[in-house]
Amino acid sequence: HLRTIVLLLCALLFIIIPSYASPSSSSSSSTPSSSHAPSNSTRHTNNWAVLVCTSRFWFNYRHISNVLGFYRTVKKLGIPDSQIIVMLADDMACNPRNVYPGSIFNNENHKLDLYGEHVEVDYRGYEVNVENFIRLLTGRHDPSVTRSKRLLTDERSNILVYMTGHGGDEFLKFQDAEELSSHDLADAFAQMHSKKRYNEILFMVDTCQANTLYKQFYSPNIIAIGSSRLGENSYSHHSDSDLGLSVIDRFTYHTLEFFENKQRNINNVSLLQLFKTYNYDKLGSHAE
Amino acid sequence: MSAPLPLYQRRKQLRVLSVVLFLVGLFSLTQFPQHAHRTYVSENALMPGSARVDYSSKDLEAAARTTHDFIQFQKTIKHLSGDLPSWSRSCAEWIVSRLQDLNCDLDPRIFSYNVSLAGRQETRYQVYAVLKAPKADGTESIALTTRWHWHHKEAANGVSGLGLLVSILGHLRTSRWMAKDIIVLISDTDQGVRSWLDKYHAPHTYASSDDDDVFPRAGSIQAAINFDLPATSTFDQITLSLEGYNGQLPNLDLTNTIVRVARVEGLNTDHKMSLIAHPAPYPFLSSPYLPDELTTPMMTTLFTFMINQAKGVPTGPHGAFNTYHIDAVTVGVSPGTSYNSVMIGRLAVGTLRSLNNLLERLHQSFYFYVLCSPTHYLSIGEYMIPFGLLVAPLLVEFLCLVFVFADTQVTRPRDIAEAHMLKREGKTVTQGEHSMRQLPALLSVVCGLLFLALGLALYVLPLFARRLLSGVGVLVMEATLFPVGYIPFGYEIEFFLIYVILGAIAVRLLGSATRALLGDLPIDPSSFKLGIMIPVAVFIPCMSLLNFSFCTMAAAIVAPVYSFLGPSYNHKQRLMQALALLIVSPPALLMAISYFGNTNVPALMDAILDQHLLYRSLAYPFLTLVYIPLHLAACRLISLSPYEHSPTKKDK
Repeated sequence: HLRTIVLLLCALLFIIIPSYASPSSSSSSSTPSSSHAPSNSTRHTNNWAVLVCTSRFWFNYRHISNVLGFYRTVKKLGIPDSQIIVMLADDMACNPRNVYPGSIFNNENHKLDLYGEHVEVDYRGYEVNVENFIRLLTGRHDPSVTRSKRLLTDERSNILVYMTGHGGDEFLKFQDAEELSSHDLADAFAQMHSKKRYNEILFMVDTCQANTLYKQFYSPNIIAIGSSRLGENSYSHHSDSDLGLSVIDRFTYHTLEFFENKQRNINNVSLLQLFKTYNYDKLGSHAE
Repeated sequence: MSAPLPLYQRRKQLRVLSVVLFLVGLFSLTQFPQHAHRTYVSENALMPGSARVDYSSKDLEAAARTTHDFIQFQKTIKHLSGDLPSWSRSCAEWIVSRLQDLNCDLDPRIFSYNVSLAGRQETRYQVYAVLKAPKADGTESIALTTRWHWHHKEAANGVSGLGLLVSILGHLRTSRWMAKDIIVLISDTDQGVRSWLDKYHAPHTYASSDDDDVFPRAGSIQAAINFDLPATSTFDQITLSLEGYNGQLPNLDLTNTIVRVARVEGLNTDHKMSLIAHPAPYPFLSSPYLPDELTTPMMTTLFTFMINQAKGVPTGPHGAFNTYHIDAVTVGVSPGTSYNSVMIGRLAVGTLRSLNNLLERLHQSFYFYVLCSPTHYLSIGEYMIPFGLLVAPLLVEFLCLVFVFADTQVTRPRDIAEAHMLKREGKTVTQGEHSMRQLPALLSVVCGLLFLALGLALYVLPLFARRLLSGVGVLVMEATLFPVGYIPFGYEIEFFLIYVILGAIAVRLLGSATRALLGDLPIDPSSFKLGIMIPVAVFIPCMSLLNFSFCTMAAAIVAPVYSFLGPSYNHKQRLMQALALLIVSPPALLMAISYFGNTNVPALMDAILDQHLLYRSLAYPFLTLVYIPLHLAACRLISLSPYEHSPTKKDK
């Protein structure tokens, strides 16, 4: 008798507990029971941008201005500051060598001051390093890290990840002291995928031999484009004789130019149109 | 079957091989220009020529005005030209007032220093000022230096170094790109720069210094450029002088920067830029007696470069900066009408802007190189190969002697076994052939090293007894009873005789010491030679890392002559050896150098000693520590009989 009572109790337990354990899953399981899998565009609700400049020193001015140019464009096209993470490895505006103190330009006509007002830089100086970058992507932060330094994305976020600096075969140089390897980056994206931290990622990288950086990606829903192939250099666009250095790279210049021209009908622009504008004659390298 | 000869016993083949290597080395020296590489800027931060230079003809006019005013001022104080210190002070004060008019924040100072010229000590004055960069943190600076002269040739709109620097200071007042302070030093002698630098870097505290006020400093100096300009409004070529103390060179990137900035400003750097200062210091390099291949511009530049480096004397006041690891060059011009002087101003400002971009001292490019032109270089990895070939005879012979000596010291196992057997049988032990040579060999090496003691004495004595020696020298040279000057080559012969007499005395003394050491034992010639070769075989390869050109020339003389000397029975061979030793004897070498250098031997010897004390140049140590003892010992060596068994003395 005792045995049958215990058996009955166990059976009851096995029936009751699961129904308490996942009330939400039962409710949410109703929605995907529709006949076809949901397309990514219907799930996508918010946009984020992560803009990273990894090199410091005065002669790498153009990397800072690359990122600030992207920042301005991305803000203009609608992503709010709270959803943009800007990482700048050095401060060019206040460098004593800058003949325009407090300003950063990416064109020698100096019409647009990228470092004017309302520029929020989240990671600056030596905070831009490989560890912080991976923590940012994977969301593994010390509890004391503020909201503005976190990538608070969920599975409905589309993220633009733009990186610029000096790179090589399957690595990106951070601060002249360490490197981010393509494997680490791929693993970070994989973590993001398993933690459901993104819907889609657009990964753009402007360095020498940039295309090697995304070779190891194995997570779904990532589109990656780099500015040059293995063995190719990425070139700067033009230099500024007032400042005495190059102010922007070609790949970034043509990307930003594309978005400047497409402002009116931005909703109907596809990535393919953007990628079609890159060609070897303009860039001096194969962007693919 | 006889065993094959050990390597060191194949002397003849080795000698032939080393002679061939030596000749190949000599030949390869002439091939340097063909194998030289084009220079490139190694430091990415420099970016020479990418910034626009705003130095214009307005600034040039200011420079010309300053130059003109200074020349007029110097005419008014002509009466002071007999009293150099006060003349120097007046000029310095004029420059200070001019700089103060330019910019009240400049705070120019007069720095007084002592210089010994022509045996006297004098006080002179120089001006220096620091232009502080408004946005920078004042920890680094770049120095610009120049000299003012007794008098300048008046040229319309001429711009001298002084005018140029004052105009650059005026131009930089309004520039916003300065990240380093600019130090301007205007001196009246080359030693002034050295004294100023010593004071700048001296680590004594303010309390212990004897300044009335503070000596303004501007952090660590990253680079320095010296301008050596006559008052000219046009020029033909820009000349760069690089050699510093003891042939040390600045980082090649400094030269590369200047060349590229000049190119951007419109100078034809292939033909209008040169490393040979004007006027050319060695006209014999372009003499018509030399074959055509050796008088091309690149070969002449290469030889000038190597001779300058070998002398160890800095080719400009920039050499002083080298002792503090500050890269410095001297920029000069040669007269002509190809370009306007505004280009020098633009070159200076452009180079400053480029050096301004540096984050740390120049360290990427070469410090050891040989230049065939401002745009063609050979690095240490390449020029050491001909050097190695030139030294081959010396080192091969040295190694052979070492093996021979080692062989005499090793007692063969057979001899040891025999000795034991004989002892056990109660018989007397007779020494084997090898061990019979052991002790004399060892002692002969020591006798050879005794000549090193002679060298040490020669090195140290003049340093202490300089005045005494020069007094004796003067007595000998001037107060001889016989009117030597009237005989052609009279002084040379007299000098030779002095050397022969003193040399004979030295060798006699050393001979007595040798006898005392050896007693009845015979001198072993090969061990003796080993002993005398130790100093030179150590000196030349080691010092070549410091001053390549000097050691190349030393090797070119020492290696062929001294490698194959030895006692012989053949009288003809002895005569040839004696003749060779005569040709390369120290008096003969000094006379040859003074002939080509347009000076006389006592002045040359004085200069050699002075240069060693001032610049640590190698001529004096080589001559006294190594070469004179080597020569005397070699004379002793060739007078030995090959297998001397009886202690007979032989005269030189």
